Formats: sequence, structure tokens, C-alpha cells
Amino acid sequence: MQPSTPPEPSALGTLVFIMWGAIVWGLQLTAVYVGHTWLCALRAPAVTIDVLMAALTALAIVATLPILGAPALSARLAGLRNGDPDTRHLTVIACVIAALSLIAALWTGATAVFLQACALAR
Amino acid sequence: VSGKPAYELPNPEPRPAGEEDELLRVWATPRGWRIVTAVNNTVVGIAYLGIAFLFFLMAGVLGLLIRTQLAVPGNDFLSQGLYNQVFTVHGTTMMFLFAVPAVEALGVMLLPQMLAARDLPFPRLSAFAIWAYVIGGLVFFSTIFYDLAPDGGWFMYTPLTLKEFSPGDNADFWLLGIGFIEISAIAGAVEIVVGALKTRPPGMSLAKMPIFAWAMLIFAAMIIFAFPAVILGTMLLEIERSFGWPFFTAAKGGDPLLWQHLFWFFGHPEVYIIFLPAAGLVSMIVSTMARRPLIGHDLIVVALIGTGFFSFGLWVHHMFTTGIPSLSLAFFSAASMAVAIPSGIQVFSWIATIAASEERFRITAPSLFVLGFLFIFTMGGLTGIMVALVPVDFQVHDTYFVVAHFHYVLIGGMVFPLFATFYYWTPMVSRNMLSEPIARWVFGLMFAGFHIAFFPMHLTGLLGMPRRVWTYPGDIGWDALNMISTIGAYIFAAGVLLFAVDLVRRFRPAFGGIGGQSNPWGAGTLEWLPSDVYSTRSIPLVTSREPLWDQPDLAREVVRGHHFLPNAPTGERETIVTSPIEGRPQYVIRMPGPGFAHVIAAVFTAACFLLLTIKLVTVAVLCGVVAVGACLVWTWSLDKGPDKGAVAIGGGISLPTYMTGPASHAWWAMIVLILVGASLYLSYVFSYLYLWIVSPEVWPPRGSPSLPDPGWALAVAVLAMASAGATLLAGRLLPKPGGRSYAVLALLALAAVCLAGAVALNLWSHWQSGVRPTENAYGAMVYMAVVLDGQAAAAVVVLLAVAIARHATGRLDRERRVGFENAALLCAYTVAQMLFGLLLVHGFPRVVG
Repeated sequence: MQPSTPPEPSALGTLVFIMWGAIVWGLQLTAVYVGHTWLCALRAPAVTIDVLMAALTALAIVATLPILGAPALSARLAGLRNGDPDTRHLTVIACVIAALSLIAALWTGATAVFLQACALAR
Repeated sequence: VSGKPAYELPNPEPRPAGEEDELLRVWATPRGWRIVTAVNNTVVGIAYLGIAFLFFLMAGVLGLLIRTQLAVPGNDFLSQGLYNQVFTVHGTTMMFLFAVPAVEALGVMLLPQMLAARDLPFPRLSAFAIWAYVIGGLVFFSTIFYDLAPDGGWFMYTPLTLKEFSPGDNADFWLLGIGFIEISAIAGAVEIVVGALKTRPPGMSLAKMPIFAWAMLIFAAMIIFAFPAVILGTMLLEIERSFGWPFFTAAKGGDPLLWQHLFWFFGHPEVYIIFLPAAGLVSMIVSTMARRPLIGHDLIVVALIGTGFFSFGLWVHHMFTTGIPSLSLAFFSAASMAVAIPSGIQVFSWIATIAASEERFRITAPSLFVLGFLFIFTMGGLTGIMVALVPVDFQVHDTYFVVAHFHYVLIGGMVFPLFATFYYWTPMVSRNMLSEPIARWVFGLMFAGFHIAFFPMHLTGLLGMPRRVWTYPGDIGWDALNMISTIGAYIFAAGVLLFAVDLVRRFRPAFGGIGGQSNPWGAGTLEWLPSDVYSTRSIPLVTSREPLWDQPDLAREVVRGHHFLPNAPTGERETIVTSPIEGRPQYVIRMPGPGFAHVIAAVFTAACFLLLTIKLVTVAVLCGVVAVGACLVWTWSLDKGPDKGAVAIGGGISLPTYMTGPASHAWWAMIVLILVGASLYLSYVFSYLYLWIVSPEVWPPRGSPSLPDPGWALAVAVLAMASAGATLLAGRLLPKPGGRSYAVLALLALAAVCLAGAVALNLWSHWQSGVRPTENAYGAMVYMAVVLDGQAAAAVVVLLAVAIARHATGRLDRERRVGFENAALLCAYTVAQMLFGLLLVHGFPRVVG
């Protein structure tokens, strides 16, 4: 309980580590929605929009994988101490959120494969 | 007889006599009419919850009026106009005046107890929030009695609510009244975020935090990011109604759908804002009744975070029938279905915990309501998946099927857990528990009444009955189902009435001085420690998630003062501030006691908003000035400085009684406020780009005068950066305690003048170029950027003026500088926002034009 040792993990680093997957998913959704709406407004060719969707989805997968593939390393990069029981809990939380977000990103991105992007569904 | 604890007691020796009396003196609750000045979380929390419940009852009566009108076809019990007002006020009150405030009230009341803090870090802010809410809410609700109530639905869709189609003041009451109450909600959210992260007891790391605290943290974070969107929406709509800036008028390049985007970007997360804390409460109750820790604790945290995040990606599913591109439909449909996964995780975790109970799961009043919640919410979730499917949504949109769905989700997901909460936590704040036999009747009537009322609405919806109709013809198969729904509503109301009677009969508040049951459910969390007006006698060292289960002697040790801060070393109200991740003691915060400043500020802020509604502008401005004055008086007493030195709290730990920089709770609060400001501004950026996509023809160079010369933008940027630079330099030149520096005074004044000048110059640059806000949506958006910059700059100028006054009077120096740091932070943010705005407003049209 002595405040001097060891150093407290970074608050921002820990919060970003826990929510990394969800942040990536949020950015993907925003980019997909904004990008697709913009390109439709500019009457861009359908293939451009499909490529954008695929690229953003691939990017989201790549960004999420480090948390799932190397959670201990990611935790250490975020400033958490490996081996600490609290870190273990936070790492489990971060990994499951990343896995859920990966599913959400794939699920969202998959829509581009099946649909005509700019057709108005009235 | 207990053994030696597995940890070292921070204060093992017997405590000196008189220490507890000192705590009682410092934390005494004001008596008589002075109770209005109270700021204790127990007093404020109970009053907050009581008022929220009152709004629930009043809005419930409106619900009964609606059901009475619809009981038979062709009914004229209510006129069409009054019916429109009744359903609008019913929905608005339930969402804005009951659900969110009730949850915030629970946060204010329960969080400090669960965290064994003496209070949340900004008690006067909580008290301000409740007064603002009570006055604003009651005035808003009373409009139903004199035909001034809004009648455009709780979502206030444009163009129906534009001046042209809603010419009276009714819509303005919604816009200004609800806008004001949203400010109150944000004040509560700031308190909860900082409280959950900074006032946990020593040893309670983030991983050991109770699930309810996690839920409240996510709830408050969601408010921070969701509410600004609707605040911007209400600003835009009120400005259009009052001054004719055409944000939503299609003929001038605006778009009515912009309102729907802004409203639902708030409105959908709002559902989860209400549900997540309720889920947190359920988790706590399930664990206690099962006499074991939650199964899948970490997964529940995942579910709370996941649900909070995903809820921001679903808003477009309220707009499926508005004619948006098919791809948008598809991925918002996908996201809407995906949110079922985290919700499902929680449900399965609760079921697993119930199934794995030690002995049998105890069937008590709280358990009954929890089981009722599980059943009803799951059914609501299933119909939620149905309406997430685009073809189903097309079919049932704006029918009673949707009314049934959201009542299953909201009543199941919030009202039943709230009643479970009433029964479960009443012993913490009342001398008597509520009656268990009556509770079974209450539950039975509410559960049966609910299904009888709302299940048939699925069928009336599928049979094509639209929402919001005030009556219907009698020969199309809706009669019997509507009559059944009405009977069910009255049965449900009978259950609520029975509860209210029991509450009046048995609830006897014991503001902190608990005289009733001590931990009657055998729970494991800290709110069940013996407490008084000062909360717990000493602040416990926590070593697990369920300290009362894992530290069996904890209650006795705490009462004897063997844990941290068993006294009031500065002679003032204090609690321990800990680090956000590991819960290490950082410093002792000195908190304010009872006072009038926040009450006056709340009353006159409410008066200002409400008088504006009825166009009494001069009186409204005077009230606004009084409110600002009261806030300044309030601010003046803050930032007490390091004069009390360090104090020993036990365990060999000596903590400072003052803190600056990122460790300070005030710094955290300002960061949270800046996030609110940034969310508001991002909503504006979205609106700007959205209107450009919809109506590029009104953007320059084709549809509006040419942009001002780039030199104007450059001059604005230079002035803004000069302001930030002057503030930064003033911070570095602050003298030692007792010193005065004219350079600091001059720099602070220069910073204020430069910032105000930057806003004025930006305004003039657009005006001289010929752009007018009433001309088209582009002009309106350009001037809206100036309005947003202006309000942020005005706040900075006021804070800088306070800093100047404090330095001139010897209250701001190198060590005593928390207030100044907050002004500097807000100044830096405002300058960043202005620079971004310059890029958008001066740069973007050049790029795309």
C-alpha cells in the first residue's frame, strides 16, 4: 500500500487497452458509414465502394489482432504489469472485447459483399 | 471471536475519544428548512430518487389517460390536441425526467456507499443537478395543465416541430426545458465518472470494483458522448424556430432528417444508458441472493463495455424507412443484431449464477423483480432482433408492435430492476424494510398487468394499428385487444399504487444514521458496512471484490476506526482520493459543506431557461446574470490551497490535502467536460458535412457568397493561438505563495482579449463576405460554428477573469493553482476547436468547391 512502489499503470493506457477492440470497431463503422455515404453522393463506381469496405474491414482485423494474438505484450505496451492478478482480469476483458469487436467488424463489413451499395431502399 | 486478519490494519490501536463526535459535527445534516442547503449524498440521493419516482407516478397517470382514451373505438374522453400533448409529455417525462435521473440518483446515493467514500468528489454539483432537475422538470410537466405542453412526440421530429407547423410556445418548452435538464444529467455524469475513478477505497483496483460501479462508469461515459448530440439538435431547432436559421428547412438547403440523426444518435444509446445501470443493479442482487460471486464477472464487464460501445452504432435503425442507401440499412441492421451478443452474455451469466447458488437461490421481493426483469427483458430483446431486420421493420414501423417492443425493453429492463432496487437497498437508507408479503402482491400485479397491457399490442401492431392515433374505428379487429391492454394497464397501476402505499407506510429515511437492518441480505459489498452521516467510521482497506464475504471482521474493524482516515484531521469534510487503476491513496480531498450558492444558481438558471421559453427576454437575462453570479460565489470558495499540509490516514501513510495537475480530481472533471464539449462539436461537424452532402448546391461558390479571404482565417488563428500562448506563459510566471505578478495579470487579460477578439473577428469575416445565417443552410452552419466557439470562449473568459481576481487577491500562485489549470485546459481546448473550425468552415468549401 505504500504509494512509492511500484509505479501506477497509466490510466489512459489501461482504458485504451481494455477498449481497443471496441474503438477499432467504432472507427471502422464510422469510416464505412461516412465513406460509403460520401462516395454514393459523388456517384462513385460501385467497385470503388466495395474496395473501400473490404479495405476498412481488413484494416479493422489487422488492428484488432495484436490484442488477441499477443495480449501480454499489448498489456505491457499499455503500461500494465504482467503477472499481476488485476492485469490478468483486465487482459481477459480486453481480449473478449477485441474478439467481439472482430465479429462485429466482419459482420458489418460482410454486408458490402451482398448488396448494391447506393441503391435506395424505399 | 475473530482471528488475526490476513492484512495489517492501518490503524490497529484504539482510537481517541471524541473522534467520532468530531466526524458527526463536521458531517451534520442541516435541520428544518435548511435541509435545502444539504449536499450529502444520502440526502441528495434520496431526494433525487424520490422526485424521479414522483415523475414516474405522474407520467404513469398520463399513460392511464392514454389507455382510457384507447379502451374503446371512437372515444372522445380526450380531445385530439390534448391526446397529442398527453402522449408527448408521457414519453418525455418517462425518458428525461424519470429514467435517466432515477439512475443518476442511484449513482449519487449508492456509489459513495459501495466505494466507502465519505461522499462523491463534487457534492455541490450533485446538489445543483437535483435542484435544476426538480425546478425544470416540474415546470415542464405542469405545462400539460394549461395547454402549453409540447405535442410533437417525445422525439419532436421536424418539420412538424418547425414554427410553420407548431406555431405556439409548446415545442419551445420541450426544447429549452429538456435542454436544461440535459445539462443537469451531464453534471451528474461528471460527478459519477470522477467519483468511480478517483474515490474508491484503498486497495480497490479497477478489477475489484463492484459491477454497479462499472455500469455507472459506462453509463456516465455514454451520457458524455450521447447527450451532446441532442443538445446540439435542440440548439439548432430552437435557433431555427426563434431566428429562422434554416437547418431543417429543405427549401433552403436544410434537411428534416438531420434532426432524426442527431436525436437518435442520442436516443438509441439512451435506451442502454437506462438499461446498463439496471443491469449492474441486477448483477449485485443476483450475486447476493445466490450467496456467491457472479459467474463470469469479467464477461459481464465485457458485456457492459461492449453494449455501451455498440449502442452508438445502431441509431440508423430508427430511420430504416426514411429512404437511405441499402448498404447503410444492411450494416446498421447487422450492428443492431450484434448488440444482442453482449446483452445475451449478461443474461446467461445471471442464469448461471442463479443455477449455481450456494444452497437455493433465495426468493425474496428483490429476487422476484429480478426474475420478472429477466423474463420481460428477454422477450423485449427477441422482438428487438425482429425489428432489427429491415423487412420486418418496414412492416411494423410506427405501429403498436414497436410500442410493445420498447415497453418490454424499458419497463422490463429498467422499471423492474428499479423496483428490485427499492426493495433491496431500502434497508440501507430507511429504518424499516418494505413489507415482504405486500411486495409479492406488488410484483404479481405489476407482472401480470404488464403482460396483459403490452403483449396484445404486438398483435394490434401486426393488425396494422398505427402509433400515436388518438382513436380508431370500431370494425377492424382492434377493439378487444385495446380493451385488454387498458385493463392490463390498470392492473399494473394497482401494483404501483400498492407499492406507493407501502412506501408511505414503512419508509422512514435515516439520512446516513442507519437505525434499521444491518446487511439484512448478507451481501458482500461495502454499502452494507455500518454507517452514519459521515458514511463509514473509517475507510476500509479492500482486498477482494466482495470484502464483507472475504474479510469477515471488516465491519467491526471499520466501526472501531482501525482502517483509513478514522477522523477529520483538517476539521472539514474529507475523503481519500485514490489512483484510477490500482486504487492507491493519493491525497485527501477537502469537500464543501451545506450552502446556498448552488441552490441559487440552479433556481435562477432554471428561471432563465423557462422565461426565455415564454419570450420574457429581459427578465431571463437578469436571472442568467444572477445564476452566473451565484456560480462565481460557488467557484470562489473552491481551490482551498495547500495550507493544511499533509495528514496521516493510517498504515504509515501521510497524504497531502491539496493536489494539482493530472492527479487532481478537478483536472479529471475538466477533462470530462472537455470531452462533452468535443462531442458537441463533433456533432456539429457531422451536421455540417451531412447538410453539405444533402444540399451541395447552397455551398459556395455556387449557392452562397464567396468565402472570406484566407487572411481573415489566418488572423483569427493567430489571435486564438496568442490566447493559448499567453495562458501558458502566465502559468509559468506564477509567483511563489504570497507574491504578486503584474505580468501574470497582464497575460491573463491578454489571453481573454485575444480569445474574445478571435471569435469577433471570425464573425465579422463572414458578415463582411455577405453570408447571412437566414439565407440558407450553409449560412446557418457557418454562424453556428461561431456560436459554438463563442460559448466556449465565453466560459474561458469568465474563468480567466476569476483567475485574475484570485491572483490579485492572493489566491492564485505557483502552488495554489487548480482553478487556473482548469482555465488553461479549457482555453487550450477552445483554441483547438476554433482552429479545427477554421479548417472546416474556411477550408473545406475551397477543397470541394
